[in-house]
Amino acid sequence: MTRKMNEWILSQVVGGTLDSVAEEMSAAVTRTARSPIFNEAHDFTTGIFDFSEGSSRLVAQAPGCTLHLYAIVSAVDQLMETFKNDLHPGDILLVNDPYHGGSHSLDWTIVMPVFHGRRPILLPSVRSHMGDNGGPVAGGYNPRSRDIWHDGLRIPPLKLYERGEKRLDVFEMILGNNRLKHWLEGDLDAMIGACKMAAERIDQLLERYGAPSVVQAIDQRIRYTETRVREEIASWPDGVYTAETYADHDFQGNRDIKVRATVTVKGSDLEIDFTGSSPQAAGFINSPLSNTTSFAFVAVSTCCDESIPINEGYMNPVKVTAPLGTVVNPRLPAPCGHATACVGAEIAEAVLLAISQCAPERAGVNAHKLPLAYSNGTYADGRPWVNLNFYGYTGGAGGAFQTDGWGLYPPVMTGVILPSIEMNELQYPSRVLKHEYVPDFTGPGQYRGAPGLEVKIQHLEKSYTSVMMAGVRNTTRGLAGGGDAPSNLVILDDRRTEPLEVRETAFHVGLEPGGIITFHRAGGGGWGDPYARDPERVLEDVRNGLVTASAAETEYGVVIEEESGSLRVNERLTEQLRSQSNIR
Amino acid sequence: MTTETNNWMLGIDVGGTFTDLTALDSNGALTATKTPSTPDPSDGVIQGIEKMAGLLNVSTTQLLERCTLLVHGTTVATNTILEYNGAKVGLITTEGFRDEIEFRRGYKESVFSPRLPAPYPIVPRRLRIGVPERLGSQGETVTPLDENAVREAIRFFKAEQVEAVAVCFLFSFLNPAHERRVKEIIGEEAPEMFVSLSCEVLPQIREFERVSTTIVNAYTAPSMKHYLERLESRLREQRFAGELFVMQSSGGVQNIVQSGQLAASCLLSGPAGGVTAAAFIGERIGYKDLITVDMGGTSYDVSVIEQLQPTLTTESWISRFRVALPMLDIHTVGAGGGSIAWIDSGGLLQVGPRSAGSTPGPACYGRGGTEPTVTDANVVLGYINPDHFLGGEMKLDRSLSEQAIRRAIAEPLGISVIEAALAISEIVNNNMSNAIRFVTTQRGYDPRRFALLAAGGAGALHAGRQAEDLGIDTVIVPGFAPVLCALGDVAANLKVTELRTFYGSSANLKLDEINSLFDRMEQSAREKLGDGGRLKLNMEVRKFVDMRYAGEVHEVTVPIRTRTRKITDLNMEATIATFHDLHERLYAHKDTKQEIEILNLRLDLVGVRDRIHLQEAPFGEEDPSAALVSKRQAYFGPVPDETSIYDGAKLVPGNLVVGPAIIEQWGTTIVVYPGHEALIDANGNCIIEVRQGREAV
Repeated sequence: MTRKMNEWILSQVVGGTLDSVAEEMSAAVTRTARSPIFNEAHDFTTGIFDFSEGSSRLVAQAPGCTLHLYAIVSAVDQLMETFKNDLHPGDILLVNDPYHGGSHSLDWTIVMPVFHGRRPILLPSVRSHMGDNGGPVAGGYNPRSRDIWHDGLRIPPLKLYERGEKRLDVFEMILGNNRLKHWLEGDLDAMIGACKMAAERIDQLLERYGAPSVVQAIDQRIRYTETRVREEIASWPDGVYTAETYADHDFQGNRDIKVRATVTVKGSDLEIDFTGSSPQAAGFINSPLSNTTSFAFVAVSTCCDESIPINEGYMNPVKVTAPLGTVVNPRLPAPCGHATACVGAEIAEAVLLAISQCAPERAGVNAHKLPLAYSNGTYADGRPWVNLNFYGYTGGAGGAFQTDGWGLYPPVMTGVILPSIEMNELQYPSRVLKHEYVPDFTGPGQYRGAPGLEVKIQHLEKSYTSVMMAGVRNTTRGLAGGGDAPSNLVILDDRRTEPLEVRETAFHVGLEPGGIITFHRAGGGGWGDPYARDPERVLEDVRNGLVTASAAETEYGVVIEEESGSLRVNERLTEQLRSQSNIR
Repeated sequence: MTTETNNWMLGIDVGGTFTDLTALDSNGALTATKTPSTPDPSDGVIQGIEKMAGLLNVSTTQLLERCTLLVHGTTVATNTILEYNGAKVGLITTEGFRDEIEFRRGYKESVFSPRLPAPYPIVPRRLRIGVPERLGSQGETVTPLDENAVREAIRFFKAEQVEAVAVCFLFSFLNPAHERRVKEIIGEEAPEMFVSLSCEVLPQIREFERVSTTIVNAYTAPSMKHYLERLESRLREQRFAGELFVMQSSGGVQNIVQSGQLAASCLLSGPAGGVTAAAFIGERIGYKDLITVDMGGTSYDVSVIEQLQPTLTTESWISRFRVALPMLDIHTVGAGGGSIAWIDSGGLLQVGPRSAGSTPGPACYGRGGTEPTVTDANVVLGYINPDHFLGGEMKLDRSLSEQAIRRAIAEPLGISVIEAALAISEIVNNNMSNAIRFVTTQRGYDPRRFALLAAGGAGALHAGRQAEDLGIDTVIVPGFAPVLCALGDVAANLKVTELRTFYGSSANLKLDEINSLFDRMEQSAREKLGDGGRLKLNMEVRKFVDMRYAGEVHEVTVPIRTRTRKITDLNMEATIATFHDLHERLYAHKDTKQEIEILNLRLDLVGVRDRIHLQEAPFGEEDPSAALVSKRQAYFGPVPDETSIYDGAKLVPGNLVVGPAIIEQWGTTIVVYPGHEALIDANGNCIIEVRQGREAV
């Protein structure tokens, strides 16, 4: 067979195998990690990198949560940069510092270099959101944070294992600085276990094909991905497309923080520049460049074909830049604790709004402006509990070309799996009273957003809750003429005093036993003109209690009437109403 | 051969294309046949029985009269959910929670694409009604059931012509009272409606998994029940007096009443027969650890059998719906004979998952298919004889295969047709090897200690390559490979699985409570299984516990070994030790100091059948030349090998076939790759010894 053919086949064989190893790692950590944000919410990613001549490249990835997409790349870069001259078989490296290629310090990255002879050749890696990170607030989200040290423990690149030996002093130092020591220990075990498992598989691969062939196959695979991504970009009209969007506030009283994206399509190259975004913020919403790049890639990747393997080749045609000192590329020591939600969501949104100007049928609404509320308290025996109230903020999938938003999260977050309500109630002193869609609470569109929710969570014991709102003043935007999502709202009600409506933030508010947190979690943004929506689909939504008859008229220009007990579209009035709207 | 005292057991597997039958007589003689499947599957079953009766030289009535047991593998429930043509279902659930089935705990099949559409709503939202009621996490009543709201819901369902009602309340697995009461009320208001209670379908923690499984059951059970009743009456008309059982997804069998109630446990009724047969064959020939692969026209199914026990999973999605009942862990990828080879926009050769199916089928079928498929590559490479496909029942056209490969692959890539065919073969082989890795290495099994059992029309064409890829020493091609599922039906044990959530901790083990719950589970299982009628059954109870380290969210199912009915302290200690070891094997770490949580108890009641003695043929010579029909050129690399072609029907036990060779049998073709050696055993199985260390690609 020709040499070229061999290379192709080998690249598929090696690439497919490395993809399956990354998936295997993902399955292993899901099953063995201890903290719910990790094992239930799947807020992690696994990846395999190659390493040569001092630099690493992403080769294969299995995303649990796509928001780690690029952050893992820069974190691995930083780890290898630090230790490249001091690496030995059996070393395991760790970093969490946002200013060493990270996002927020709750996300920790572990790498275990696999050696071929005397040099590291492939690097299995796991990056995950940990249950706690020391710092002033349990669970790690500190809305009062004013600098990076307020965000929690800052871990620069270090070695957890050296030549196969566990560094006990390092472990003790890290565990000693964490509220959830038992979870953290299990989570680290899970991450290390997954890397070891991958290392074994990689050894087998190297043995079978030989290192040079494997590296060559990887080159081929990366080139392949690049070709496919370039092909997608080349199908978008050349031009410069600019969009602006805003985060509500920075938790320090400053409002309407701007993220501005200028997307330049030139042939098969894509440049994304964030010049014009707000200066770095006083509060913890600042996004380090690697996080900004991650969210930009998330936006781009949702516009491309899903069958394209994710690797370094994805990044080659795309250049992301942001001026230093801005909210999308802050200087040390700006706090970054909330960056993976805010301004992460706004970064992805701005890029999508820009792309939707040139490739509307590829862009779907993916922003996730979360109404977060974390509760904590102590069990009767004095042990602390932290409940992230997942049910309250999960939702908000947007519309896309030919597809209504559905389910809860938009696709970028769909690796995130909600805990079972029953399991949650067995483990925490809480009770979910309602978790359901409500009508007329999403962005309308030719393809509408997923319906919004009302969620009521009751804490049966004394609890303290901190709330971090987003999507209230500046809600999730619709695309291609679709409507914006409505506003989120969280209400804290201890059923004794006046309920507290939170539209920005609340810090450590005590609720007596029986207190209820109500989330009005808005749906996603719509796609396309609502008046272009098929009236039969509007009727179906009315029948299903997702749109009221009056909203059908005002939002969609569809007149629904009842005839002998069943609902139907009045076509004449609908046409009339819709043709009038052409003037609007 | 047949005597007056003879009687039979029948295994009947209805697949998409063929209805396969096996008949086992009291002397252990096994007869197999096939007929085309029919739109009403019971027609095909009756036609198959008629054909079988002919082969056995008895009348259909005589065969059925003397049939003690008929085990049926059916795709009726599966097709209902795959084609979304089930019953009109209404859901009654706890007020405030009617959308859990749409939320799916947030899960979507795609993590990137906003263009992935929602699943087809088998229960649209207007037919999902929340009623006031709530149980707490200890099963205590927080809000009593509002019976008027239930009645109102049922009346609404009646007006909407709902045929089946699914009922799922939070924490009903701890306290089924509210669900049971709803069933009574439906009995009063609308007795014609089929009712599916979550506390009966899946009395297990996790509301989404439970409600989804219950809904799928309500959706599929009415058609299944109708079909089984019709089949039974047609059989009884012809004086069938034996037991009629249905193959379950878990590899056990249950009677038709249970199966009609719990159709969600029959969704893998077909393929489960094949896996069961593989375990049966493995036991006979002394291979306890097997990887079974079944390659048909569109898909490739892989599963693992360890120590003769097929592995189970509770994590299946079927047709985009979560079904959490235990079922055989069968992993399916789109790699079959009809899988289409194509070049993607990045210039890379891909095979599947799109398939040419049976119409138009591969190019060589000559039915208008122009896209090259795996079968076309196999024809070009000389593995498949165009004149002997399906025993010569169907002629293939090699030139059409060449044309399709040349046009779609060879010319665009600038390579020869042979090179292109070899490339297609390499790619699909690798896809299949990765599918095997998925169920082995990803589950903590080392494939090298397993034998590979290949079935389906195309399985034995490729299995030798997977064995080389994965370091597997032995490939087994069963003598009954073309009717493997029907063989499994006839060989399967009766089995009922009971499952209850029991939340506990290793720090405070309540053994008395565990033992008494197991007693109740066993009693319930015995009521369901019955005594097996005229079958001689040896009842076996197997107990398991789902465990995890405190804080983990996934459980490991751990067998409990006891010598008496009661689980003792020592038994439990051993179980916990087993858990640690399993955890380490699966996930590369364990921590014996950690607290362990118990989540569920599982109990299998198995009616073990009398050992089946298959008749054996006497051994002949080592030299297979009596079966040699011809030689032809086949490509195992760029240069063709002169390859011996054998007629499988003429091979006798003891024959040793040295590769490169091809054995052509009715329904399947076995490729003995260069360096491999195949031996025919006393039951007509072909056991291939694999040479390791093939040069990579």
